[in-house]
Amino acid sequence: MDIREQIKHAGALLKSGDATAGLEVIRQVLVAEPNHLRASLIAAECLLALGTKSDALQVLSTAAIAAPTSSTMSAVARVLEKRGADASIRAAVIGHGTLEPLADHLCVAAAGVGIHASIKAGEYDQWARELMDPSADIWQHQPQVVFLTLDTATLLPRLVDDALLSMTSMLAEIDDAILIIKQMLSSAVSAHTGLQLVVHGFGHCPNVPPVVGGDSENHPANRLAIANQRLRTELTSALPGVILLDQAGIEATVGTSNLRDERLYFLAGIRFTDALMRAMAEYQASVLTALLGKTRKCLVLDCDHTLWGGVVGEDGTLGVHIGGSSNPGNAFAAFQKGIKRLQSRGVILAVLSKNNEQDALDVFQKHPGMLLREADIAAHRINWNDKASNLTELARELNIGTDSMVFLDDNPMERALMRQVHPEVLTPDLPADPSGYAAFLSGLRVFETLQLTGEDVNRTKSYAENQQRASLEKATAGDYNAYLHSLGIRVQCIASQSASLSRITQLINKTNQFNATTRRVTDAEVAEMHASSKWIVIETHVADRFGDSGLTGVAMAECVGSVLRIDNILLSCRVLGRGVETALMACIVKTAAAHGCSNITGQYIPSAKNAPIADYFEKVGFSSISQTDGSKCYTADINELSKLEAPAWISLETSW
Amino acid sequence: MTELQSKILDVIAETLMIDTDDLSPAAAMGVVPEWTSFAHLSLMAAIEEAFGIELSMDEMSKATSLETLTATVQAKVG
Repeated sequence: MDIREQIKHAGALLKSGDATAGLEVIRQVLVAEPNHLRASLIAAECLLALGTKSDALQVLSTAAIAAPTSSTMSAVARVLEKRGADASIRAAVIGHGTLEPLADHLCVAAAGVGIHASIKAGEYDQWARELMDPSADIWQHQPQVVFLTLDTATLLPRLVDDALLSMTSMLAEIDDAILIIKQMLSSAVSAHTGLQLVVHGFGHCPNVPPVVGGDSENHPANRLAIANQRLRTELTSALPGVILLDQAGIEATVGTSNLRDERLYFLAGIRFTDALMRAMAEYQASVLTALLGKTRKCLVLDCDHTLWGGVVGEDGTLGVHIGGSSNPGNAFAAFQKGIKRLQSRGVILAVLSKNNEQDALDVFQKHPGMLLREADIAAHRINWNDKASNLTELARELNIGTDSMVFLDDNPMERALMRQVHPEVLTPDLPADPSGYAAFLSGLRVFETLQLTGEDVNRTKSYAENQQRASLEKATAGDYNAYLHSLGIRVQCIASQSASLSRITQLINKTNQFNATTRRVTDAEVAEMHASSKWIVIETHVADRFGDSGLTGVAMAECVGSVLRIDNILLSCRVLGRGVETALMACIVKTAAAHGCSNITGQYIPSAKNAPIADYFEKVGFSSISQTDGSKCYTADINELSKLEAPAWISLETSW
Repeated sequence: MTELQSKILDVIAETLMIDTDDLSPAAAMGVVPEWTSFAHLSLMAAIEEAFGIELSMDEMSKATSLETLTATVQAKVG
């Protein structure tokens, strides 16, 4: 049978309901032609029918990467739709032009980072009506996120076309356009509670000749920058929950001469090339990653051939290649610089290496070319044990989930082992050539946070402080109370401040372990609770003699008659185990009294990770009143709880 | 059927995700349900790639049946 016959045969078997036999046949085709699109799609459908979703996704993303064209994306997206209705997020893409291809690209890009997204494309040029009119088609899809992409030439025609436009007239045109955008967006925000809006900034306009020399104010690039700056300022002040994507920057990554296929633009109104749509979809997918709280927090690094060239055990401390101006030391230095860049954005660094511990540490301490020093590494396992168990230990020591880790190792065997034992750890293939490491790292878009907060940047420092706390704990072993007293813990529980709202949203969405309901929220929802007189949002700051952990706890509660209903309560794992949770509840009790409530209720919804909070309500004095599927509801009379005090080793400050 | 015709059928079938058996000589946009105006664009891109040719906007907008498409490709590859 030739390949065409085999594919037809496999398709027929799949249709008749025999996915196992279909898969058997199609596998032979894929052995002969690994990237055959139709065969890959049938294989994926068979795998889906057999219930092995992750294998299906693997086959599909291989096919999509092999030929990233619109037709591939569309075909792959159609198969992805067969995953069923249990999408983890629903989104819509609206704006100028034809948007279906972009929606398909996004569906595939999201699948590539492990997100099952159901995407609806808006109608051609209908973005304004869609934002204003709640009966527009896209809303039937109930999108939680809406991406808006606008055409610069349509909105800012004079800025694009009139080379002699005065600055005053240009600013007037920009402000008029932004005013319209703002009105449409506000209308959508007020009609759809909890909606997250994501706006692509103004992009380059194709076919505008460059201005060489002359007055810089009239340069197209300068005009575009001014328009985008004003858009950012206006949106940030008027609609703080809206996320703005740097469209001009995204376009730069594919090259401004590669923005659109003129034939498809004039024939069908498709405003972007496949390369550009792919880049846009990757940015959009990283927004979804961050919104779903799936951002990775920790980079786990191998040493030999990964952080430096050579093998320290053989080449000696100063014999490995790192730093300097010749290769490969310069390439490894560029990679370490990239790692430090991520660290400055709050990514925790850990080292996982098969070496004699002192050999590897000597390089960190003594090699003049190293950019990473011991103080940059929050935790390490350098020994001869297998890396999978070592990684489990690292996660425990750092108090983070293994699913928030990324493991980088030059050795394919180690990567294979890690993928097998810890599929939840992201273990990408490093390029074979170290000169590609730095570029590879910057393209690894899994650490994105929507807003960089002070706590992010201090996080690595904070983890290092935790290590110091741990050694003090060892020193005062046997007397944990004395240890806690020696920490000098200061806890501040205060009503939410406007300036803290983005950090509060981030904490609610990122905290997994000590999080009573793991209900995620949008910036808009938090802003709403903050503003409401019925809601009490408490932010908790923790500090001790080793450092300031910052805003690391949140409680949200709603006054319903004489009952204070705790909607959710959560603490960052960095401050757990020191009685902060009791202090926070003591504060809630005071708040309830201040609001004239006589009862407090709470709820626990179990997740894969939140066992640490499972018995919390009972511990502080609540009684369980109902239980369904592991979820529990609790109640307590405020008089019974009035004895609840913060532990003696904590000095508590509250607004109530 | 010439080799060229058979290759075109393959590309159409693969792009529209249907069997070549479903394509009659009268196959065209609108006649084959999967051949929508939108799928047509994907099909044109796939044809360009498969034959290493470039189609103009005019050719793309006219090559909406198996017959015209075959004639267009035939003329291009010579």
